Amino acid sequence: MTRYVTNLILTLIAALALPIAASAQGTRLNLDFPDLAAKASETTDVTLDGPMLRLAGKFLSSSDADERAAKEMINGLTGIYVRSYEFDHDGEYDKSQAERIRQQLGPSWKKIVKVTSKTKEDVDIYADTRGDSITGLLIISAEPREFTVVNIVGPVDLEKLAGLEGQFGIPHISAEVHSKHRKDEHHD
Amino acid sequence: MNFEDGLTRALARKPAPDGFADRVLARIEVPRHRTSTLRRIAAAIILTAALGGLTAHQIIEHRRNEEGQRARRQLMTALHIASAKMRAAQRAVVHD
Repeated sequence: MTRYVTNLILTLIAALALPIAASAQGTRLNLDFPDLAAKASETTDVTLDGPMLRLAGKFLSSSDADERAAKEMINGLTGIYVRSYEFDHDGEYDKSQAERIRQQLGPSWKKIVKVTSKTKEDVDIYADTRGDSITGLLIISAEPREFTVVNIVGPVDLEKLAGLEGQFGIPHISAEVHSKHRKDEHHD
Repeated sequence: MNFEDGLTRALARKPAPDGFADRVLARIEVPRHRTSTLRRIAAAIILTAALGGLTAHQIIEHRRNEEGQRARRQLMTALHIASAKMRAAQRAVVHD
């Protein structure tokens, strides 16, 4: 009887702890766009969950600056998912596809950057914030001939992510992103 | 006395029949030959198993290496795309 009660308590604890742990890890969003993949002239599909990220981390070279920065960046992450579709002609895809992703965002998601352009690309960046920490990131980029979505699951260090740009030979943006973050902290 | 004579004759040393020694040695060598064959078979099995295990290990290691390299390339692609999109956002924010 005591054993039964103990098992019951342990099961209840596990049942309660798992969702809490999962929520602390951020949310993986559904990034499936079968219609876009069929129309696109070029598709980039990257799905790296926890085990694959750890495997990739083992193969990153510590002598290469880019890979060293990437290794630091993925520390603690549980998933990186990228879908990028290129099209031959302007307007060949429905920009409302982005709305499908936004609908998945819960109240913990905050929009930190919104860029709208009639001629170039629209970029929305959302952060999944739990307390003071960011546990997930979503980037939606819609260009006339390209649609890209990036979902990073896990504790994202924006400084490190911004630092990658410098490592990859492109300028840092952390200051601008953070100032924009302060201005626009409300989720649409 | 006839009994003693008979006993003496019976116990007298006699030469072995022709080919006796060869026949005895031949009968002794059969088990030796079998043991040797069994040893060779066992050694062959062990060697085959060892080579098979080594090959399987190498194949698994090769696949794991390929999988790891593919994951590494995918990771770098994903981070390049993410940083490029952030750069695009930065450009737009700076121009605003």
